[in-house]
Amino acid sequence: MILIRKYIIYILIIIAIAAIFTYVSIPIYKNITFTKNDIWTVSASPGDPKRSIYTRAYVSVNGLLALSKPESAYFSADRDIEDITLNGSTCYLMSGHDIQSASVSPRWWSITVYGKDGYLIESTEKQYSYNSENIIYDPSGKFEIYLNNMPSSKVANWLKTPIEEVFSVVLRVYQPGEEFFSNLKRVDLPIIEKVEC
Amino acid sequence: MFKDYLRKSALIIILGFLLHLIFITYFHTTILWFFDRSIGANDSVNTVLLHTETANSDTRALKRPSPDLMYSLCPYDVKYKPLVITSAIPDSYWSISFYADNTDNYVTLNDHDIAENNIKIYLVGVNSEPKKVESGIVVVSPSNSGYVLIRLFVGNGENLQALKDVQNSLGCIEYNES
Repeated sequence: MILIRKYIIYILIIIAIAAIFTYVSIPIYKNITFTKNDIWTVSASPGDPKRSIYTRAYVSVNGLLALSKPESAYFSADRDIEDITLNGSTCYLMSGHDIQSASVSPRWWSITVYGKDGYLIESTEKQYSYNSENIIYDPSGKFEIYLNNMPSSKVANWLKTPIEEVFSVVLRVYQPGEEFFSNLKRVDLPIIEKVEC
Repeated sequence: MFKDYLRKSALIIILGFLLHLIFITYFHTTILWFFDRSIGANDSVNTVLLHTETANSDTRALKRPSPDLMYSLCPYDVKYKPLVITSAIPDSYWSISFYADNTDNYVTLNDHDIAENNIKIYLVGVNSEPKKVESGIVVVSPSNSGYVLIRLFVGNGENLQALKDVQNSLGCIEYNES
């Protein structure tokens, strides 16, 4: 009886170790293997059948049924340019060029804000994202998006962030072309910086 | 005594790591189980189960849904019979993506790949290839079951009704050879 109890304890310890390894390994794997471009992180082909078991597990949790190269690239950011975690208690300005007018020309792109649970943030304005067709550009072809819980009178585009909670931003780029995928580290992408509220 | 303790500890950690590899390998099955429950795919396949307008803060079927897309989903089982998927094709971005039962995206076609205004796709399993197919594209699924996901880009939202019509034109039915 004591021997059985001992083996049950061993099995429980093995299961606990496996669970801890699993919990810890997925974000570590993402940090090590995903491509980084300034504040953005991207997996070259998250839906690819040849992806690793860790990429498959990461995608299952964070964006089930992702596409593979060359259909789409998904960039995600959860930190600003000072490498500080994005938080709804702070005001941010995202600024960039029209991605379609850069050296590559994707079919369309969009920028979306998600809460820490990975779902869209409740908004009476129902403006959860901007895409290449509905964003307002300035005359020079640049765009700015104000990221905060309240809008700003100074910035035309506004995406609501959660109050006092961390959040993330996803940039989707559809059909950007092979050159874009071979240059994921260096393509010109928007930046997110802290601003005065 | 101390050596024995070290040996046991090392063995437990190695076994824990090996079990972790099994957890990671089959991690997606747990996620898919919850996903199937949320969309009702446990009880029903080979039919369009999910037509969404653009995602909002109440959307819970998928994590990180795109509010710039309208989604349609057809969970499939082609073990015994192929599936015929038909749809109208809009002038704007449209894509149809095929996912195996382990969530691998093995084929994606978009509106630029298709010359006509309509598409007919035969989705066949490893053992369910039909003897003859009329005009259409044949896609072979590496697994007996999986998901077909259709994405429609809404852009500035001006053509929402036309896109809904495209969405409603989607057919996802078993192929019965006569």
